[in-house]
Amino acid sequence: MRKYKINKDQSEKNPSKATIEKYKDFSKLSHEYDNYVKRHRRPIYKDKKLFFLLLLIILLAYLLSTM
Amino acid sequence: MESQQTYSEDFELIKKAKKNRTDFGVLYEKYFERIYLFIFKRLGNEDIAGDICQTAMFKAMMNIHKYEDRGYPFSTWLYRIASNEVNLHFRKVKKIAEVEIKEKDVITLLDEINFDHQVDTNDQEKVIAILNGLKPEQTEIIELRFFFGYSFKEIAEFYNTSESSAKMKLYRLLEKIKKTSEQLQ
Repeated sequence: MRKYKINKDQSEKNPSKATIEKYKDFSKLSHEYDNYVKRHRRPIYKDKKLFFLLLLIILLAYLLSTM
Repeated sequence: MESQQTYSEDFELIKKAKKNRTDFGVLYEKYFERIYLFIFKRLGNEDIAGDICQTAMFKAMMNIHKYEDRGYPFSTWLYRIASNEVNLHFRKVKKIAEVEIKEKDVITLLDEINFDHQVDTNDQEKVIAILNGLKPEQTEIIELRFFFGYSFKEIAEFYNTSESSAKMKLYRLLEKIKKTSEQLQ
């Protein structure tokens, strides 16, 4: 919810440059991005191609070991 | 409005950021202050503006691959993301946030509403009360035009629409405010 209020003294109360700088942090944003991407990476078993490739490797390994 | 020079400079920066997200840092540094002030003006709280600005920048970084250059400045895209975040915030938060607006901006708004009678401070209070009852998505266009001083061209870019549609949207809303205000007489 927001409520407007008329400012009669005409002066604009904008935050200072220093205040804005306090909130500016790209390394934090970059870190959050990396975490998000890692968290939402598709697991191998959900990727059909990778799943069958993995299955093929295991089968080949099994066959080679039995020969 | 930004110059052609800014578009081409951003074009390269956006291309780089699309390939490598860490390159988004340059755009972040360039636009953070403007976006922060835009959010602050709509919210009136430094800490919340800081958090929302970070969230908006995060979403911009996440979705930079979806950005298409349609001839509008890149900042318009960022302002739109920021504005959506502010509207989302107002919908989520139950606490009332007080937002200060300059008296001269309210006078300009009243002039544009074009009342049939001589306007006074009572009309100011009435219009503010009506605005307080509107949804953030509805007041957004009024904020852009009267409190941020956007031109119709800039508003059209913001909504990704034509100038005539932007004008129609605004004047319909002003007409609605006028009618509601007259009913309150």
